[in-house]
Amino acid sequence: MTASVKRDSVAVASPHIPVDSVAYIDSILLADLDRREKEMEALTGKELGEVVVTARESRGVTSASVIDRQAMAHLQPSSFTDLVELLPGFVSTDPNMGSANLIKLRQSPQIMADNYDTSSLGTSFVIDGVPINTSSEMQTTSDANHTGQLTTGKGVDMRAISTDDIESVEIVRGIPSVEYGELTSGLVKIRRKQGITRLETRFKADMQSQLFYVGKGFAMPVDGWTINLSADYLDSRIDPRDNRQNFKRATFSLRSNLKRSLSDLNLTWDSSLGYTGTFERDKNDPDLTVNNTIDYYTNDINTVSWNNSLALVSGKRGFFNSLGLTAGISYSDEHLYQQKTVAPTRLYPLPVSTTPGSNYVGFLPMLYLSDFDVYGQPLTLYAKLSGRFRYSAADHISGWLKAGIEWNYSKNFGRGQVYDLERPLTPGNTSRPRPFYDIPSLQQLSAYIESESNIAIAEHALHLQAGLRETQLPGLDSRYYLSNRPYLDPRVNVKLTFPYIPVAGEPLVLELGGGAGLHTKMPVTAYLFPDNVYSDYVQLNYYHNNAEYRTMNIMTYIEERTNYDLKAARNLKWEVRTDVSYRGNRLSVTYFRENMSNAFRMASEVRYHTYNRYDASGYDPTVSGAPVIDDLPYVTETRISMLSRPTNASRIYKEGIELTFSSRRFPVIRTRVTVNGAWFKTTLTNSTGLWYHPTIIVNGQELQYAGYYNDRDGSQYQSFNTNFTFDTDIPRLKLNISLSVQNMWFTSQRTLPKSGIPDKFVGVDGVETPWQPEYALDPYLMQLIRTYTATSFEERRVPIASSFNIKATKKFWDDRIGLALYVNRLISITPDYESFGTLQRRYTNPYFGMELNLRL
Amino acid sequence: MKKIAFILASLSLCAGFTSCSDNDNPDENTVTYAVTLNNNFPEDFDSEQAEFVSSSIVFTELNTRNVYTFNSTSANDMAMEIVALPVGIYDYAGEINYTVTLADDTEKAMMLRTIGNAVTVAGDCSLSLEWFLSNPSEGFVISEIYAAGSPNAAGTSGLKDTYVKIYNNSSEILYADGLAFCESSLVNSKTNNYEILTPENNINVNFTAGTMWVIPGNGTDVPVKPGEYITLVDQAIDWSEQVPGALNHTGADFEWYDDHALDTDNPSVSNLDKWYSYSKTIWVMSNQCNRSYALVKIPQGMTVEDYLTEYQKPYEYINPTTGTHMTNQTSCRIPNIWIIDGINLGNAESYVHGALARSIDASYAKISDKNSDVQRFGKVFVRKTAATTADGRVILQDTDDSAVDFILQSAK
Repeated sequence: MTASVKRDSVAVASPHIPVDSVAYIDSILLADLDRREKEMEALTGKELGEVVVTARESRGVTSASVIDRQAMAHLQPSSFTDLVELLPGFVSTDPNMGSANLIKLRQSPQIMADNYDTSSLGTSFVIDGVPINTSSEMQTTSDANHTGQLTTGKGVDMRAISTDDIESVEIVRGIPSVEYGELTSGLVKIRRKQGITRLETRFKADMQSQLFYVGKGFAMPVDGWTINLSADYLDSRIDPRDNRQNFKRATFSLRSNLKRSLSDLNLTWDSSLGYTGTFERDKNDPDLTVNNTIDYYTNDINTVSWNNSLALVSGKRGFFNSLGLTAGISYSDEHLYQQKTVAPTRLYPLPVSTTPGSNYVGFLPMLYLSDFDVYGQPLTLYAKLSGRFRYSAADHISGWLKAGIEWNYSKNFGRGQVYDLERPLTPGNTSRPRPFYDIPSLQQLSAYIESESNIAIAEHALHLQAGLRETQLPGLDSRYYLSNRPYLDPRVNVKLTFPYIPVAGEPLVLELGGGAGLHTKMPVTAYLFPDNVYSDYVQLNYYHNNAEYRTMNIMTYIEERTNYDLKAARNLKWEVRTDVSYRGNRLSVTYFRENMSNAFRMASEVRYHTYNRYDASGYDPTVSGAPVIDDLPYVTETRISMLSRPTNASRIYKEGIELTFSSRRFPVIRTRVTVNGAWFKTTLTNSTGLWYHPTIIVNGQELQYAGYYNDRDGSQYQSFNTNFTFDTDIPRLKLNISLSVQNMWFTSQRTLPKSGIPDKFVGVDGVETPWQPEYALDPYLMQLIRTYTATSFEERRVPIASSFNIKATKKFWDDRIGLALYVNRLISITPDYESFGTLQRRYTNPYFGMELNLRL
Repeated sequence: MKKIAFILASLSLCAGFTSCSDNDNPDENTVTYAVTLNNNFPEDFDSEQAEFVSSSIVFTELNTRNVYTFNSTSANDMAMEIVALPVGIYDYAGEINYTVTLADDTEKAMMLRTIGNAVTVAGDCSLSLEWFLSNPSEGFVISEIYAAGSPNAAGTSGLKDTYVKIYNNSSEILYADGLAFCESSLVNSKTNNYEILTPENNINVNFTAGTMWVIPGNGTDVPVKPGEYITLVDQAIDWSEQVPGALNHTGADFEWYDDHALDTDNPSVSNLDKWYSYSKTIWVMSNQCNRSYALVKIPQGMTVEDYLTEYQKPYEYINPTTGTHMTNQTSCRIPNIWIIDGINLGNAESYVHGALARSIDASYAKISDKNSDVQRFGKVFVRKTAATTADGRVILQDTDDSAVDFILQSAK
């Protein structure tokens, strides 16, 4: 079967599925899109088989970027992170293997803000139809130096995704089909290589890392059966001069693809076995420290996954088209280990009781070695049953119906944090070890139905995708708001293709499109089942000169931080798009808005803790030894404590314009110009009022009041960039050279204005009182007023940063040897600028790498 | 003498320079150049009220270490404002002693001072002298300050066996209760070289403190005899029990106890009152030794509430790196006139200026040449002895210039 081009209704996709290119249901759509794109390109004058070294704007019904093998080969990535550069709005950045690489779609790239991780958490990575489930990721450490390397509650770490097995990626920035859930911000669909290939090897080296890849696709003795085997290894040094801090990745993949024809049915069975290991090391140099003290951090993650998918595709043109069954199992063995020489600089009591109430405690030694282990063993299961049906009504309406159900399960069987409470990494930690296996599993059940239809109206072609997805968490404790609560995500995309307009004898194709939809991301295990917090208050502190009489008694409060009212994060997106193609040139422009006002964040609530202060001033220990609290006079005191809990109090608001333009390849100079760029405006704030307890001491005590502020505590970020890529393809020389001029025209940040006046406050009595202006004169209440300088709300704008990057690939010897190199920021222009009267200078360094590809 | 004549008289000390060319001056035959002195007096100096007594200025040539001293006790000769110096690079320090008559007709000795560094004389030139008020303190002084602490068990940081000694430098019994020991909100380093915008937080008006510890009492509860001191410590424990070589503080007079689950409290050592602190964590002295400390006499009868209502105010500043205007909210103002003694700490690499007015501390006590030098641990600043009276009482040197007044020595 071949894709036929009907010149009178171009965009009406013919419902033929080329069976031999379909591996499983998920890729039907992708293949369909590919085909449609080729049709369109053939129509508008673009050569088939053309080399594309940038991300293409998808021909689909929503805004999406497609990155294929050629683009990746030209980009020379080390991990999936590097591909993000190809999306509108992003410029090249140096690899940062020293911290988790999170994806932040459609937002200003300069943002570094806590509390807004739902953007990356809500971007779903789907590899060959199976999403990566990070729900039961729980690795944590109390050592603030290493929290940036962990991904609990933040989504997928792109460092761990190798690119060499990837055939193509579609990054849906707009409104994805309802077939995909568990996302708020975007969808990354990865399709891996399949089929018979030569033995391919790749050796890449850049300023930080070396990468080695080997892979081959075999034909098996059985007809229609192929197996792909591949492995890669990445060794990355965060600072090339320092071999004590590094990140290593090893992956192995075995993929089997079996095709069978059973009368009218074509059956495809895909099975893949995968292993990914990431190994982080960060140790100090004992020779450089005083007295050879040791600090050691390692974080190893070994993940094994086995995915199967069965696709049954009808060869007939009836109602039934295809049925798919996908199942995935993934298990990780995670071990974070820290060792640290701790030499306290003061004598610390050890307030580490695990029981609530009054406790007598001891003291921490002045020198010890602290060992800290975190064992995580997340297991995830996934199953999906999906069906596609075709229908046509009259002559001018035809299309697809899609329906499916999806189930996933995750549970962490790890032992969690394991350490000696009396030898903590940092004195005074407020957590206690808790095995992860005590935490209930999390299940999710979803169903979807979608219609994708092509309607021919006069000479216009209307492509309409409308679907509904339903999601819930079955099996969750009934105290949770989320327990069995269904969430409905309606999503609609529409695209209207105008009849082609002949311009100078060539057709000009104009498309207008748009869409809107709701997207839901359920909270992860760490948000639904947070650790308890242990708060300790001194009841008696009696460090007598005589060691025998020393006594310290504390009141311990153990507080559950579970927020039973926690809701799912929901993002409402809409966008309008236009796409013009003419003579192999194509311009796509998308305007979008996204509003997620219930993103996850840890927010504080007021708690009151009461304890007794015992007075040992009149006590004579020489009479009856160390004091016992029961014998002492006391006064009862109450303190305000802020308990940080998972909430839906963050708002992520995104607005912007994305554009992609690609010219045809100009003859003679064989050069094509691609422009992509974006203007992003991202507003990150709290979506509800926040409690704040000033961390000061007034008259010998912590402030006895906490204020509630309705201020929007956040910032607005903007960025505008355009990347011009001139790529020259010379088939005769098998040479492809590209020059990319990346201009970040400006980035800016503006802190949103705040009044700093609380709406209300509470005292230790728990009574809420509305704020009155006269409280500003009270020496205690005035502490609740937060003062800000007016100029701190002014916009801080960073002017243009411009860089010139070159990349080249050259093939030799019947394409068996490929050489590639790249230099980023070969030239960069970053003018000095004045900010608030201060001259700001910027410096950049080039970054380069090269690689050798062998196809034997 | 007419009081109006004072300002002229003080200028005329320059005349004295030529006539009273000092015996110390090493070589009579050296070619000298005329250095014209332009005297700038502080705004709050009221020449109408001042009665000139004497003045002097000392130039020290940095290469030869030759010292040129010029004195004047005469207020009559007002013709010249010029000193003669050979070629060289000079540090200088000058003082003008005068008296004011108080409302009760008692006379009080006062002093104006000026100091400067690395002034080049290579020909006839002029020099601006910035005079500031400097009132020699009599009474309590900070006699020792140990902020770095002894090395911890691994030698990687400083223990909190830190302490401050407050010494009665007078000949009478003084009462320490009501004294506040305050730490600056600002850090004395390049990165914190803020331009303060709030006029009340100008260092010449108020000291901007982040933490205030007050010695409790009713005004006569903590007597300190002449020549004796009290010790304030962080944790009043025998640190040598914990880490060999550290200090024993079990005999301290007061500890700054933070009422925190991670602090210890020795029942036999009284605790200081914490009137205000910018942080609710345990307060520690500047381990980097780069803040300023002041000993403050809070006015009699002022309660903590009164104080906070009036003086706990935010200040605005410009961050030198980003140029942005910022607000610091967790700070208190302490009027300079309440300050009895003060000391700026810093290291040579990053010190720019102190948080105290020059009249309180004209310079700073240097802990090290480098930033974060591990050699700082175990070193204490000790005030020099100026004299010992016939009955054996030590009078400590207090010229309000900590680079001159303090020496750095081992704490052991």
